[in-house]
Amino acid sequence: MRSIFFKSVSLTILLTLITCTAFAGQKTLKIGSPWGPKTLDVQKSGYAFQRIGIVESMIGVDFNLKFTPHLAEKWTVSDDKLTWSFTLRKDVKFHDGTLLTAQIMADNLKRLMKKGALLKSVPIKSITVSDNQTLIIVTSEPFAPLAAYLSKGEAAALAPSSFDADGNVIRPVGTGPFKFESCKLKDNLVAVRNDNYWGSKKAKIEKVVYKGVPDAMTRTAMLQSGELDIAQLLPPEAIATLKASGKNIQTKAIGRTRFVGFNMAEGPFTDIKTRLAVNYAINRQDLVDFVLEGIGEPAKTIYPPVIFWANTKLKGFPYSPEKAKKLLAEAGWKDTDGDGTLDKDGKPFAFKLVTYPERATLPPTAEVIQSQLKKLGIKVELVVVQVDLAKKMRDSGDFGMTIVGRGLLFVPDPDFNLNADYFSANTLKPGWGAYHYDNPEVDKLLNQGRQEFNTEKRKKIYDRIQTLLLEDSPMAYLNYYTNIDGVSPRVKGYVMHPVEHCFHLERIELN
Amino acid sequence: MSILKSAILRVATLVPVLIGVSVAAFLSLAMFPGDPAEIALTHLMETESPPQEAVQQLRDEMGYNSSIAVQYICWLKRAVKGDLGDSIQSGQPVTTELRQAIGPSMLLASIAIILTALIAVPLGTTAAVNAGKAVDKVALGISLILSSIPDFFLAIIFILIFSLQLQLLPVAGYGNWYNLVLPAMSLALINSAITARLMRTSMLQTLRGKYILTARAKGLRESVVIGRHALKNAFPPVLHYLGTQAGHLIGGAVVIESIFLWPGIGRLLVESVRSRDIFVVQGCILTIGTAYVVIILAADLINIFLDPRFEEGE
Repeated sequence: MRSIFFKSVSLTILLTLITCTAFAGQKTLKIGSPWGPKTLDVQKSGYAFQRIGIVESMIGVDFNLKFTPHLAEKWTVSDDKLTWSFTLRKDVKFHDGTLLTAQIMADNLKRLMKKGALLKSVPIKSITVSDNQTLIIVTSEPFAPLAAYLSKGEAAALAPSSFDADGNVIRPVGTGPFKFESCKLKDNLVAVRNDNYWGSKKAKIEKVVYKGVPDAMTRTAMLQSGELDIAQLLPPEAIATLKASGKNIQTKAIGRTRFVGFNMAEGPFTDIKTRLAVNYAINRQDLVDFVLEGIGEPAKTIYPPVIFWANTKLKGFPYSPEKAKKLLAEAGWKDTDGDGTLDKDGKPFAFKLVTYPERATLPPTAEVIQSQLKKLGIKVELVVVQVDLAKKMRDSGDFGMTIVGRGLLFVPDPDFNLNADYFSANTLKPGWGAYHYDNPEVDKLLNQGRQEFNTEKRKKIYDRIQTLLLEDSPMAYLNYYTNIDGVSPRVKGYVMHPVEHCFHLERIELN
Repeated sequence: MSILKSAILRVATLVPVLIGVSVAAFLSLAMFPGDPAEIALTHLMETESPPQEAVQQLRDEMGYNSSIAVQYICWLKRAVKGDLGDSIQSGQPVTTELRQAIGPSMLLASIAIILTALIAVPLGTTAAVNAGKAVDKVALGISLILSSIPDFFLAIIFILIFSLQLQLLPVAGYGNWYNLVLPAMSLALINSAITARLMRTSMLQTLRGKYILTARAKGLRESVVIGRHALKNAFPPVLHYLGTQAGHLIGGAVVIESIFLWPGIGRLLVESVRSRDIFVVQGCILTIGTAYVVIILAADLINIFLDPRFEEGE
């Protein structure tokens, strides 16, 4: 009796599962990331819709972070550098069949300025149209990074039918290779292929399910069981398991960097020699090998080399305890009382190293650096506190060093973060910038960079800034974040993007 | 009559409880370090550096510049009218978010509690009947092991066995009955450890009663003595404990909900605390508080109907 019961139960379960797999279909791509869509209002938070390919903006961002024409086929800037004119493509249709016009684009950007956060600090004076295809944006001062802001998902084109009578988004009707089908906020987003896509690369897969799976272990297990085809942002320890079960692993250095910030207002690090000494004293390869389990890259400058704006000529700081010792001695730090800790003017070389556990790799990084500095006679008091408290300590100057992991290219332009973090007036503000850093030459270059519209010339300016940032060392760059994605062997053509601007799912084929 | 009166009294206590928890939630969120407007935008846009102008604007919109007392009173005024505000993150009314989350939470909690009872009552009873014997010791061992395993660990073990090795059940998700099995089993097994011990104690006490001696003396079969007479008297304290457990599971099954992608109140609460989505936090707290009081009340009422002494008293 009992065995018959068990058999029938397991048979039922088995049958249900088979039906489920059949329903899931061969042409559906299932992606799991830590975050689901947070709101339907693309202009408040547009990343999920842009990554999947539902909405598109006027300007594209390629895999090295250079701008490419997208919905706008070209754009020019007037001689006074204040008037931008964007020429939109003629053949772009929204998912509901409406033709994209300059007026629709202008209405979107105007709503974005009012309802969204993205353009709040951009000096836009007016947005107008001169004809059906031409959009004119006038800024109150020359502002080269505008193109980068307009490449974001928040600045995407939405058809008028996306909004209800009160102007709230009811369903995002975009122009991308995938059409919005349904969405459960914070949980999942479902998109289907747009068969009338304007671009040359039409999607091959029929359907995409983008799931928010906050727990990394769950993402890993779901990839193993076939509930996901791509599991994004996995921890290094998942690699071996996934490889063993036949999944592919892809990695990509991204525009997010771990670095040490020094307190340049008071304490030992007001002296450039001590900052350089710490830079030489940190064994960056050890950090990658032991903290990041080999998945990562020691930093040579603020950006990883895959990013166009990185100054690839810079060699960073080699590990050299001898140089560090020499610099410390030159700065007057000696162990006069023989207690193992350096001192100067009767004060020991001791300070607080503040970091936070929300980014899991930071506390172990801090521990390794603590022990590496101890060898030189520097006493580090480790303070690991919740991120908001850590920020409060940093803002009040209650630290010697901080260790943070920070996305630098939310807006894919070097001005976005360099200006906020290194411009002298901004370094006094709350945030994670270089605390009280002040270099008039950097200030001048940052202003130039903002007003220079020639990409090659801009690149030279930001290259020079990166050189100065190594010379002054207001920060010690440690390593770049590397995203680890697990990919099912049935997925072909998945390429990771260094700022996750777009997943380009139209390239993907499913076997 | 007295039953009705005590039920009404119990519902009336909801008011001070809810005011208390809502004040506590408001104060504790206000005391967190960090600018709530900046943290909200950081989460919404997925960047550590939201534009400062936008932060300032949100601060003004949310009234974060006024004192905490003023903020609370503004919220309370609207809440009394049934308007719990909109989520900063999703833009949806808080009531909508709560409605979407309460169903899954109640489903998971009730199934988990029923499973707990189904495991704990037989286990505890068997242990009590065989007190001191090998069966009792094995039951004690199982209880000890289960009560010392954290729920997320059991969840991971379950995923490894049932999803990855045997491939019987999906790892995570919501919407089908088989998605419910693993999270409910994880919660039930952990909960049944203590519940089974309680059942054993309660049963042992009952078995010492003189009416049990009478029943046995009458020559009733042991299964009838235990099943009909003893269980009826031993169960009420366990039921009451299960009630508090169910209250706890609504909003308290945070880790299990996150691991199994269960879209319940616990997950909503944690995510909204993390992103300082203050109105959603308040809504969750109110819902959890209400659920707690109502469930315990329900357990009390069931007890009254089950407890034979009440019948006689009336």
